[in-house]
Amino acid sequence: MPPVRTPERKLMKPKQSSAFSCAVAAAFALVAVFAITGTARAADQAEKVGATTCVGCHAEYGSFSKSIHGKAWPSRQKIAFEQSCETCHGAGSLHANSGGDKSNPDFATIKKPTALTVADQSAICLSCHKKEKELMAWGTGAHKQNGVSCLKCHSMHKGEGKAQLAKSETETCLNCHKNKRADLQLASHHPILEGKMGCTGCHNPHGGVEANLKADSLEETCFKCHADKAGPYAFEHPPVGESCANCHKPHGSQNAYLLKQAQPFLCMRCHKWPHVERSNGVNATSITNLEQRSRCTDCHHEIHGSDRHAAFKN
Amino acid sequence: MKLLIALAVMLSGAFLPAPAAAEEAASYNLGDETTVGVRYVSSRNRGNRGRLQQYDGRQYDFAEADLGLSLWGEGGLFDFGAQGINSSEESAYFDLSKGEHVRLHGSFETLTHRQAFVDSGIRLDEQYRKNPVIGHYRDGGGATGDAGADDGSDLFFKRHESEVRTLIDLTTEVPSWISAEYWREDEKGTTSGRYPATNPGTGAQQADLDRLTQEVALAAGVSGEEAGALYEHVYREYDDYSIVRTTSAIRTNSSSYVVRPRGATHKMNSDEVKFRYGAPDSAMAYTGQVGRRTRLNTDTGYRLDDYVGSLAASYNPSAHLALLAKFYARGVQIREVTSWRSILGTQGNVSQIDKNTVRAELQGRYSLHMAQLKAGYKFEMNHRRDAPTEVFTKAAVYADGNTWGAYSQNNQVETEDIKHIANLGASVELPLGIEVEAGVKRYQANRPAYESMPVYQDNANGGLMVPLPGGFSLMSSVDYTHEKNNKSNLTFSNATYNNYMAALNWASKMFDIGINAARQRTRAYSAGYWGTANNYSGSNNVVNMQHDPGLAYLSKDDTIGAQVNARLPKGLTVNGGGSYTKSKGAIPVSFTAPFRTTGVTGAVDTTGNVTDLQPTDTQISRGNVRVEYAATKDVSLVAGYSVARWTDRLDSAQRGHVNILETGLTAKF
Repeated sequence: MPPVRTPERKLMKPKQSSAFSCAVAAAFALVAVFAITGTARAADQAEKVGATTCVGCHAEYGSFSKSIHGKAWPSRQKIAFEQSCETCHGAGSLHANSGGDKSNPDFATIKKPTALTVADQSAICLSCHKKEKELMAWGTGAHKQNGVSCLKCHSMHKGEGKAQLAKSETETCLNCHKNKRADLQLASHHPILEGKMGCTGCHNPHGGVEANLKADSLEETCFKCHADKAGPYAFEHPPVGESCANCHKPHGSQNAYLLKQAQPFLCMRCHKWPHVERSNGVNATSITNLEQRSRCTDCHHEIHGSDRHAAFKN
Repeated sequence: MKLLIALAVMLSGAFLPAPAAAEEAASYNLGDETTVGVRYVSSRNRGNRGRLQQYDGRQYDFAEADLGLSLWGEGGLFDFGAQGINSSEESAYFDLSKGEHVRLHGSFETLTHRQAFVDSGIRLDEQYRKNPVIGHYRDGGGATGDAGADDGSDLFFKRHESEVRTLIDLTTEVPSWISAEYWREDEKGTTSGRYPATNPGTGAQQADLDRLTQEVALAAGVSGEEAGALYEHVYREYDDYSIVRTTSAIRTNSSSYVVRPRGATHKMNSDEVKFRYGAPDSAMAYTGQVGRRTRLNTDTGYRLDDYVGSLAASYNPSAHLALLAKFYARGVQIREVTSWRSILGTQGNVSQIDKNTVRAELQGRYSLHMAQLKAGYKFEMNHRRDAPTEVFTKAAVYADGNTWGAYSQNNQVETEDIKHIANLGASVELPLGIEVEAGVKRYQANRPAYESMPVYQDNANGGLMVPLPGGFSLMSSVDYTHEKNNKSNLTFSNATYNNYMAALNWASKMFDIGINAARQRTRAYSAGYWGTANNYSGSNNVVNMQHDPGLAYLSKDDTIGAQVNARLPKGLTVNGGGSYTKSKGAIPVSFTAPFRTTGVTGAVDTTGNVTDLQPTDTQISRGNVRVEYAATKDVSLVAGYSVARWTDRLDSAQRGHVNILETGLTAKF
């Protein structure tokens, strides 16, 4: 027997005093059980009526045929426009016959995906989108585990673009990940504000092996576009291979090249030894060098690795 | 772009049946989505374009057009769009479907990436000083000038990203498919080339940039309701065709220094198997992948082998409970080419590190009435082999009495480290719709892999969302992190990061207005060991060097922003926004020795000792408004204005501002 699913917590009422709330909760539960079982039985009895009937009341959805789903379904899924509404919302005859009367139990027999659990929403979407490589890890992905459903980001009726996002891609992500907005405004940033790159340039919101990244590690994610940093080099700078985030703040920084801290401080956190013995142990910053050059990378400019010079100067 | 359009047109003819017969034509919806847009952009700018207009492809005077065309029906789908035709940032895409079995997608996009000149001067105290030794930016013609807005430098490259992919459903009993993808990214233009100099010479020069990355991916998969799997092979090649310039005026080790962005050219092959098991609405779900990757440096023959495996299982018996277990393992090995090393001669020690990583993670979420609890634990173990040894053969005596003997260690990279990361969080939905959330995270390592990494890190964060009457809502969050490394070989390091954010929004049927503010503070401390050439003389130990046990990096970032979206009557839409960002940063220092700002052989700076290294003081303002008017159902007019200003209080060469006016018309057919 499949587990009984209950509505999301958003639908719950504020807590009352304990005895009273217990009684009210029991009453609500009883009503809910009857309502759910009754609804399920009624929904099973509904028949399909076709999109023309739906649009008769919901005229605002008449343009669905021009959406990406409306265009792709006829050929890819053999779902004609007439069948489109009930593909996701279920058979609608009882709902249609209720005439918009919300007090009529039949009115609620139509399936409303936004009110479903994450798993049930996913089941609707994944019934078609099961071939996408990007969705392979959805079942164990961070968004699903945290109760973020498909319709939290995508809007079938009001979404724009191929991804049918309710807002722009960046705004969709920043809606929850608010603390990243300020980073994107800093002096050094990826071209996200400029609209030339989205969060999905690096992240796979449908689940990834490592922090929802598209590749299986941070550095491999970066290397796809920054291929010149990938190596392998004859002289590796070890932190590069471990994680680009050792030195860079990918969402934005006040320092050039997205550096976490300004040079020479950033370099000196590891390279503490004096920079005065030139042939051996050249390992830190000297005043002499600061007097001549402003940053470590002015000389060690191949800092991501070099095939020619052990100190990354060429 | 043109190639993509030609390909789309050619394939659309082959894919879709010609609507010659009246009944066949009637089965297609043609032209309903054909759009044509024209736009004129007028731009005025002053100052440094490399900073403010880093991505400025559409910020100059031009007339551009958009085009969209859709054709769809039961037999197939053809969807084509092109944006910014005749601009510096053209983009286009097409989608084709042939029945339910064949899909084809292509896209093309251009990005103009303006490059900042090399800021070769020194920022000391509250001012920018010309570099006394390496001079300033030198353009390709050899003329030396001051680095700045008026030096004539105009460095930028264009990046073209193209992709074609197809997916074919196989008509078998098992729902299976095969796919092929080709992706390429080419970058051409100019950038800043840098190389070290000895005596007075050029340290920065315009460099050619011409590089290409191509990728071919072939995949096959099965996609059932409950289970799915795919195998994918990816071949990627990175080539660098930049014109190489060398200079003989610069000291060399093995050859002349190369004036171009180097990077190693490489070929990569990867094989990956991914799988999933568990119906979307079932309580249990399993996903995983196994893969190997080899990357061959085509310049030297060095090869990286990378093996990754992961397995995850989730248990969601109801909307109230979610449990997740993940396991991740990775092994990286770099194979050296001894013949290449012999060409180079003795230049230092081996620096390839082979590394194995194992990670296990448990996460849980439980919803109870109006509260939600989260907890997690992550374990990570890294084992490294062949960590290079680094030696410092001389003892050091510091002016403050701090002494260090002759020194040898494995390049400050630990052979083995173990990390434990635990997190706990809760969110509560209170009456009146108020939501409160809070969380803590603890990171603990037995030892840091690198000196800059912490031994422990504590994080606390909280958030508040308050819906207010009249459609207002208030949101705020705070995030505090403190980290410390008290097991360093040489000294301690620690850092605190404070982030605060608040936003107020007002939404109504017609308006969506919001303002937001953020404040970020970083205080990081480490040790500074300073020396000069005078501290070292040949074979002697170094003496009287400076030791600053609390060298700091301090940074402040403050951002405020606002946005307005208005859907007014009679087809009028107004969107606008603005932001102001102020950033300050510095490395306060206190040298006891004089600091020469006129070069190593120059006179001692008479203005006093330096107190700040590399200070930054930047203010960036951006604003835009865009008005769109739907004159008819199918025709809309647009006008927009945006302004941006970059102010660097320490270096006038970095300053600039730009004003952009845009007008356009879009028609649907």
